[in-house]
Amino acid sequence: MRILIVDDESLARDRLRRMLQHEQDHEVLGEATNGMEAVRLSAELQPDLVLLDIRMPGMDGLETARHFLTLDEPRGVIFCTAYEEHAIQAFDLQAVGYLLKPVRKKNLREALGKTGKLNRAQLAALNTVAEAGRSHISARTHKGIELIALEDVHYFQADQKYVTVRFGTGEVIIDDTLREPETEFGDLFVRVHRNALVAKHHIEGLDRMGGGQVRLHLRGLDQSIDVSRRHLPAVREIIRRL
Amino acid sequence: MLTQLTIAGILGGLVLRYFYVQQRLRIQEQAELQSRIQALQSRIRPHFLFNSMNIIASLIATDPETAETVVEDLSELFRASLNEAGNQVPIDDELDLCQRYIRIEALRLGDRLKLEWHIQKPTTPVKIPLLTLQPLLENAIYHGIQPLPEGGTIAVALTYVDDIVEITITNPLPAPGRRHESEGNRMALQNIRSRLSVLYGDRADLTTQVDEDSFVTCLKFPKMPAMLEM
Repeated sequence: MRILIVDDESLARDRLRRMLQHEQDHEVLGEATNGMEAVRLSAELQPDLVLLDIRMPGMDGLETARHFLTLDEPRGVIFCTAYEEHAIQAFDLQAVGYLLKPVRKKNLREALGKTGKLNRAQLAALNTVAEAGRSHISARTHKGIELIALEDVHYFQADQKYVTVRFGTGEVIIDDTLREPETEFGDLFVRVHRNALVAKHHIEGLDRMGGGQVRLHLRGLDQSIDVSRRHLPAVREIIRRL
Repeated sequence: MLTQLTIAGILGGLVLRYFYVQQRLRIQEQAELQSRIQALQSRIRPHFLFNSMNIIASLIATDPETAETVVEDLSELFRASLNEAGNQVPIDDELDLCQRYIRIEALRLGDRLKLEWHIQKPTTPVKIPLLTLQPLLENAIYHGIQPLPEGGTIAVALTYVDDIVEITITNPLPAPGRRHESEGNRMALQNIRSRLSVLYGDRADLTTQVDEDSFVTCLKFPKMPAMLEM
């Protein structure tokens, strides 16, 4: 199996690499030190399996695994952790590989033998056990995998078929409906229209157009966004509190 | 004459009984205090134990000498955490424990962990309750350095103002949206507060303050304990 090792601690990575050195059927393709690097490297190197530390700065292991799934990167995942995490107990441990550090060779070998790919049911489990919403939005573009920090996102806008994510320097298309980000990031975003979900902290003010039309200005964005009559009171309330 | 003797005898008996009961009460109070402090004694986080074990497992093959040092440092830390509760130790001993603790965390975090020490030397010997500073450093690492991909610097300043020992620990914080309000953090602080108040009453103080992107913990306690020689 072709393996990617992901851990923020170099000594932990060294040890896994050394343990895999003498395994004939396995090859270590590379190492990543955090979740974002892992998502990028995984798209580039196409490993069969990712040994994934749970506690990492920036983007943790649970979120990283969610990105593999939403991006349809069918990776086998074995979580590694120093201490039993409550989060992981919600899983069906038979289905998801799970190793405790210091990892024992025997356990590693066993896990490598039986770990399959994460499936949709496990994604649902991941979504419920993850402590908070994702810190990033991931999308596949012509440039490869793009990860957009949530705080950079200005708004999500639904078209007939897909959702566009508008952020500081560009936009990407994701394979979601508006309902998913709305549920996941509810505190940080507000629905301003049937087709638009806006980042509260980017909101600057309202503009009254002719014919009772109201549009919303966002910080650092030239273009403004339609606010529907139904959502106007909620938007006003947020602006009042700014 | 006989009556007087009897009265004196009874009075003497009462006085003796009084002192006896007093003494018993004192012993009992001391025992209760002891067990209260014992219960509050700082506990090493399980994460730290297992991460350290992982470090040792990794170093044994590549750098046995450093692995040996980690085993020694870890043992010292555990010995301290098992030590008789409420012990007050020379401040240099606590600083030495902190250095050992930091040495282990530095192996784990690499150059993401930087420390600045500004330690004033005391003119007279000063004591500190054992494992008071170390858990504060642990908090600073777990909530300040570890969540930051690029890491940061923890500054420790120790000064003496009149008869008060003042220790300030400053660590960076992740962006507001990424902060985890942690139960463990609060508990560690509450724990130290309770221990200080048992030892020093209201003459000790532990405060925290969130600045824009840093967290400042300030610990103050008198050079001399108010009570309790255990």
